[in-house]
Amino acid sequence: MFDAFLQGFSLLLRIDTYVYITIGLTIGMFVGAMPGLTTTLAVAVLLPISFKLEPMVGIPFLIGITKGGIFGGSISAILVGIPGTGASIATTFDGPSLTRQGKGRKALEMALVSSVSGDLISDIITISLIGPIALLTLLIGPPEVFAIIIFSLILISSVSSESGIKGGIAAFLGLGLGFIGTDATTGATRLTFGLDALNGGIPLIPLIIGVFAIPEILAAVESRAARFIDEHVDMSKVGERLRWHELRGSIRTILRSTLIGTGIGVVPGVGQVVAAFVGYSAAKRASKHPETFGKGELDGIAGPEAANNAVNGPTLVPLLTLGIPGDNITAILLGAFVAHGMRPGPQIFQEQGPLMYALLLSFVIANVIFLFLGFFLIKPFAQAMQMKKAYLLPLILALAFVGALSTGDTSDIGIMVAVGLCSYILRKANFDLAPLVISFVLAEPIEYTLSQSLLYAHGSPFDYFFIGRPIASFFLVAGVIWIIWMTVRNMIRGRTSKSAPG
Amino acid sequence: MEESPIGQEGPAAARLELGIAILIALGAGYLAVAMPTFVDEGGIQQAQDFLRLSPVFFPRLSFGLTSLISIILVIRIMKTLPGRETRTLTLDGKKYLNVLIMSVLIVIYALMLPFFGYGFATLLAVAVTTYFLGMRAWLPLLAFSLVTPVLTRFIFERLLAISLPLSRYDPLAEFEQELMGFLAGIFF
Repeated sequence: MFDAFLQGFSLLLRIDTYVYITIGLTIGMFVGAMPGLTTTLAVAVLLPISFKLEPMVGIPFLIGITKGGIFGGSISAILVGIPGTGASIATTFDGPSLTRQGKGRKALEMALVSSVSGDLISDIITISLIGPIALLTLLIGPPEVFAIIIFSLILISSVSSESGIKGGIAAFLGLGLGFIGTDATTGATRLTFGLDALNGGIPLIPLIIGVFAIPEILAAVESRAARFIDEHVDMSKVGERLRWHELRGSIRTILRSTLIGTGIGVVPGVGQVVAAFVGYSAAKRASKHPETFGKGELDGIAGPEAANNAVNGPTLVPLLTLGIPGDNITAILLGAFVAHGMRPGPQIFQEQGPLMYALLLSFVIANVIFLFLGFFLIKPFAQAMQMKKAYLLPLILALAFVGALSTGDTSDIGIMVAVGLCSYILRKANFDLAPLVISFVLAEPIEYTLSQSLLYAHGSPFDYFFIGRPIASFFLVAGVIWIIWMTVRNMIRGRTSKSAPG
Repeated sequence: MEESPIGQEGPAAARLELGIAILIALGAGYLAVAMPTFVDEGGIQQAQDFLRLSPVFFPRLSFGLTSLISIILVIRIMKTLPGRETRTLTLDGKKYLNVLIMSVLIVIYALMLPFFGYGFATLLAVAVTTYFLGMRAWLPLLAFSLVTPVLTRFIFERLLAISLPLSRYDPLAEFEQELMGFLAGIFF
């Protein structure tokens, strides 16, 4: 494994990787700064570009968009109090107050340094731990992989909605969509409804673009406002730069939040939003002057920003070692890996070890580029927030269509539009679509690993899973306990809210 | 990834949730029951037996559970649905009219593509969408509508080798190809 790590360095010696990382970071920051647009949208729409590049260029390009997007969300959160992405909601608690006090520039630079530090440290932790974890995953077989996938889907579904019911429905809908086409175990075609276009199943790219791009375009036209943000940002009044002593005062907060984000990132489904809130509240609890939080405190920026970016690296651990995406972005990344002929899972570090390490190391270098680029781009992107929808939305629409057409089949446009319109309706009914996409990409591994497990079980699946395979039984039992706990908790909450006055 | 509690956004949202939950419950239930008829070839006899590993097994299990959970959601929404006096539908008409118009534009754009090709379909779609979104200055509108398809086609087709469809009408297709050839001649 260490040899693979060393060989990975030699794959890093190419300029195009860093050019595309820079492009990705720039696009990500721009999209993240727009409150109506999400990082997921940018990654989904630009996914086809990565297919046409080598893995060592295309995948870092997507990672660049993600890293830049999460930070970009903090620009509007700090300057006008509107979070560009969900991950920057906690940044709005102190950001606008700092801007009003004439410390907007300090807040933006604190967000940048915290984001880069959180991301960098978590990437280094990920690189250190992923090799041993990958070796451990080689010891497990199909029953364990199946059980871990099911446990992950239960977690993802339960955190995606308050009761977990809608998350569960979305997950099962995703599985249903994933089962369309040719059955991997028997070769029979199913659920095609007589349409030849569905023989190979629903293609991933039109589905991803349909789920993430079309609903955002439709949601953006709900309001006829010409811009996403109407407030004028005067960058000449954002104050002085961040001083060293101010940064030094927040180092403990940054490190604490980085560890929080790293821990949360490993758990599928929890993600950046939760990490940012936990990072913020931990910073407040540990502060000697918690009363200043919410009134313009630099630690209130450092806490959530370090935590939300620290999630990026560890989310790759379940993706690369088990093939389980923990959120929307990693589900799209899984698609990118598959398109490049790599199937993340227990074998990938054995088969493509140097490439995997090279990719992870490129993410570390991306953070350095991110730091320098961020300092230069904060100002122009703060002004770009006021760009007119009339230019942005048609461009996104055209790019979405190009993305769907990149499969080379014009019928995929129909799939993208149909999925997009249905996704908009589901989102209006408060369904989170992350479990749908994640379970869609996991449908084939679920079917394959369960089929194999049942064959090994020789007609006694219960004994095989619960007596013969303790790790598998642990995850299955943990999943059941989690569902019971969620149900009981919802019942107690329901009774409490009924008995509460008013 | 938090959803808002059922009915919190008013009775209209709760009714939409209820409608969707019923639709999913019925659709998934039907697919679970009728799954053997949706297998095009092979394995149908075994598919009748639920416990056998067949192309029917996993989809049936999945759709069956979808239907079951959707029924639980339907019951939950029915219990929390606001009272009769608040059951009037209060959708913001103008807001959703915009969404409807945009949806129609997207569908028309998709339908135009095979006939007009990427370039001309995108030119028309971008022009109409930009106008719909409030751009009334003709020069920027025209320039943006022309530049978007040309630039995207050039970047994706010439630089990234992503093939985009040409018009079925030869003169349009030839014009687009000549334009791309001209641009390629400038840059390469």
